[in-house]
Amino acid sequence: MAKRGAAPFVSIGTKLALLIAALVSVFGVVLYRELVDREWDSLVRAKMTAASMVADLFGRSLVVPLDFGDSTTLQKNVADLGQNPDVTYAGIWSVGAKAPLAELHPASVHPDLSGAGSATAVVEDAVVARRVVLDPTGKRLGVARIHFSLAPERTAFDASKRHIFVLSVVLAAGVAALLIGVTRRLIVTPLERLAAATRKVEEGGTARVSVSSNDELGRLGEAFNRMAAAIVDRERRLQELFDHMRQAIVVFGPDGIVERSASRRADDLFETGALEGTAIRDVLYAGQPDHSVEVRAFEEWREVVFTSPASSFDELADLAPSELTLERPSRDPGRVVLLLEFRPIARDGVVNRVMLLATDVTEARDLKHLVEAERLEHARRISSMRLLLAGGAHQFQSFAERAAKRLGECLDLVRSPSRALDSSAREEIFKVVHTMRGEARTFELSSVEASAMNVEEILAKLGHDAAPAEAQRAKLAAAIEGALAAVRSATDDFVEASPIGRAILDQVTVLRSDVATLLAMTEGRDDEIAKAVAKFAARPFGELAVRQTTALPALAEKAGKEVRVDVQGKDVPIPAEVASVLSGVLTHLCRNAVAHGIEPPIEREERGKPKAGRILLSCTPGPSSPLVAVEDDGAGLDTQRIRAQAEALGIAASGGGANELVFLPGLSTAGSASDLAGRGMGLAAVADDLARIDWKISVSSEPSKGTRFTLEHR
Amino acid sequence: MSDQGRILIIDDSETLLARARSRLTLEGFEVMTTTQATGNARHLRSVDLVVIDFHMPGIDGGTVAESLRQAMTEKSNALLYLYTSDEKVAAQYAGLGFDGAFSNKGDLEALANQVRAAFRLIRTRKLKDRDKAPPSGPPSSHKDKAPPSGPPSSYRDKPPSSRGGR
Repeated sequence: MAKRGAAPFVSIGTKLALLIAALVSVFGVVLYRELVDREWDSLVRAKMTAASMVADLFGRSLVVPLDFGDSTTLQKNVADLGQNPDVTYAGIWSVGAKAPLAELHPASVHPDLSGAGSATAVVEDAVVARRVVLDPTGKRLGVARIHFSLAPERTAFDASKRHIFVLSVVLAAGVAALLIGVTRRLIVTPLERLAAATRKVEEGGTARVSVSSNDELGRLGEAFNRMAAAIVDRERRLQELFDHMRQAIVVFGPDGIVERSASRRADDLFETGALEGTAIRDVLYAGQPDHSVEVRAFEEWREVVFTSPASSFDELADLAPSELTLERPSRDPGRVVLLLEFRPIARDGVVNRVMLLATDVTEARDLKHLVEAERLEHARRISSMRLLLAGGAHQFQSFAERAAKRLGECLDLVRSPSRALDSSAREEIFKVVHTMRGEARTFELSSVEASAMNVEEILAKLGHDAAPAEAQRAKLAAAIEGALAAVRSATDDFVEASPIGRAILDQVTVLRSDVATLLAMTEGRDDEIAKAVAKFAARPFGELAVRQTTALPALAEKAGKEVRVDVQGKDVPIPAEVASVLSGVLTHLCRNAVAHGIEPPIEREERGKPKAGRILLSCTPGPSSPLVAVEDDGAGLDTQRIRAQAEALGIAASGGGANELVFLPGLSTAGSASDLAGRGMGLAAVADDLARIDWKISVSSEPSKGTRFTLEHR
Repeated sequence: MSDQGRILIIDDSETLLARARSRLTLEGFEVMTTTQATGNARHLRSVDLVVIDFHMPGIDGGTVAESLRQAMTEKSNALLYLYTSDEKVAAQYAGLGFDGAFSNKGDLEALANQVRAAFRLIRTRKLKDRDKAPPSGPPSSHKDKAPPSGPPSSYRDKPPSSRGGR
């Protein structure tokens, strides 16, 4: 704001009034002098006219006496003059005489006029009239002189002067008042109104100036009104904008007091009533004591922020709370999570205000936590299961079976109303659960452990009650069910982590050599024992497939390709004699798929396929024998080349597709023998091997889409 | 979220330890837990914050603080925080020898918020000390007289390299 100088405020009205007063005073003085001078002149002139007339008459009356030298008459005439109170002196002289023949008031002062002829003039304080007396022939007879006093004129003049003075003053005052009034009305009052309106707008209110005159001030007033309206409108729109923002905006200063809450949201979110004037610490951490760590952290941060240069604010922003949880018992879920952002408002490089933007992220946060927690939990369970599989699959299985069985018994006990739940019964339950808890801990099954602890806690709460109430039994039953569910869920995780699926649960450890011996012993037999042994000897498909899942991706990488292996039907049992052959066949087919079928990643991308090729090994149980398939989403068989090669070998294609040609010996569409696929004996050998166990292989393929080899018992 | 800080929690309830560990791990902290009140000295060297259940049976939380401090050497900068559900006890943390207190015991969200705040406080204080500390020089007497805000931890806040008090 521009600083006005040390000059004190003087209203323009005062200035104008003073100016008008000065001017009018000057005018008044000039007028007065004029009037006064004129008055005197007119008085004097009147006197002179009268004096002239009297002197003329007197002069004529002296012609005869002067001619005859009649001094008595002369003296009488002079004495007659004396009756006129204005005459202060009169004298008559004959021609050439020094001393007057007759004189009135000889003692008075009576200077003569200059010159020689008849004249009337003002001399000091009197009008002097001199007349040369002439006889009818024109002969000079003598001179007469009369002095008329101006004293009465003076008196009259003085009275007039007073009147004129009063008149002047009144006139001047009147004019001044009029002028001041007019200027006030035309200039000063509109300006005052404008100033008052401006102040109102500055303070945040709204104002209108009434415009009555059609001049510059009128225009100014109209312009002001338009400007004020525009300001109000802009503020209103800003406020609307703020109110519609999802964020609450709160501004506070170094003293920690909120100056403005610039949005309706703020009042909603913080629910502390009017935010202005409240301490920001109370807005954010209402109800928390000063020693609470969150309050301490915030207050110390606030202190640092206002005493550090604005340039370091970004560094400090990390130390501000980024989130805030407020209890809201009235809301569901009873709390509100706010995301907090702090921004500096700086002047001259110093932070003098901080703006807080708070966004309500309750829903988003809940969801995120849920998902994250589940993901972590799941990953942890699977990884601990893998550990289990690596080491103690058996023990886990027996543990799970035992736990499920015993928990089931406990549940029955608690649930049947006929059986009392006395302290010894509760002891039993406690022992079961406690043992299970310890065992679960050795398997690192934390959720099973936790469910066991839950049951223990409830048992502890039952205390020494001889016969617990219905409600408490129900609670205990629910807890035991929870434990059962935990065991079941642990078993599910176990199966999920297992490469052979559910089959793992049925696994038993038996030496291969013993099985082989048994097989040999029952060969050719068709009885129950033989069938049972055959079942022992069967391997789950997943076991055969697992070698491919682990080895193929690495091999593919060496060939510059990306490959993913999926297995379906992991637990379908494959008879022993088939399993040994099938293993090799799968390897061969998979290597073929990687070598010829799956394209390099760039090519696959160009074709709109995912970069990683997919190889699916699937096994479905058939009516007497399972069905196995090896499928890839690669380039498919190159039928043209196959035909060409077949022709080159002198073999004509049968009516069917070129696909069957691939199984002919000598055929290979590999340009060179890569270590993956070898030379042209590949698929023919595969077909032969399968034929020896009475299985056949067929193929279907679609160019650019993929290839599928189907293996089944004839 | 990489390592936000290392925490050791001492509490007699394994359920609580497990739950607290998973919640704080979610926040990016590295969490160690134990039910043993004693024998934790070796952990103290590597953690930033130790959270101690005040009402552990057998040993009153306050004496645990003392013994921990005795076990700590100059190398350890770990802060000791009370964990309790009793607001009155929390208010007394300084008198009991702790650097701070976490309240609302059992509420994991509240714990996460408070732990984050504790680490913010640690870093804010470090920043303040860095900006305030003169490069070297004898300790001025008036500094020793001025009462520090927060817990009366005379040897706590002394950065290992400087001489003299705050």
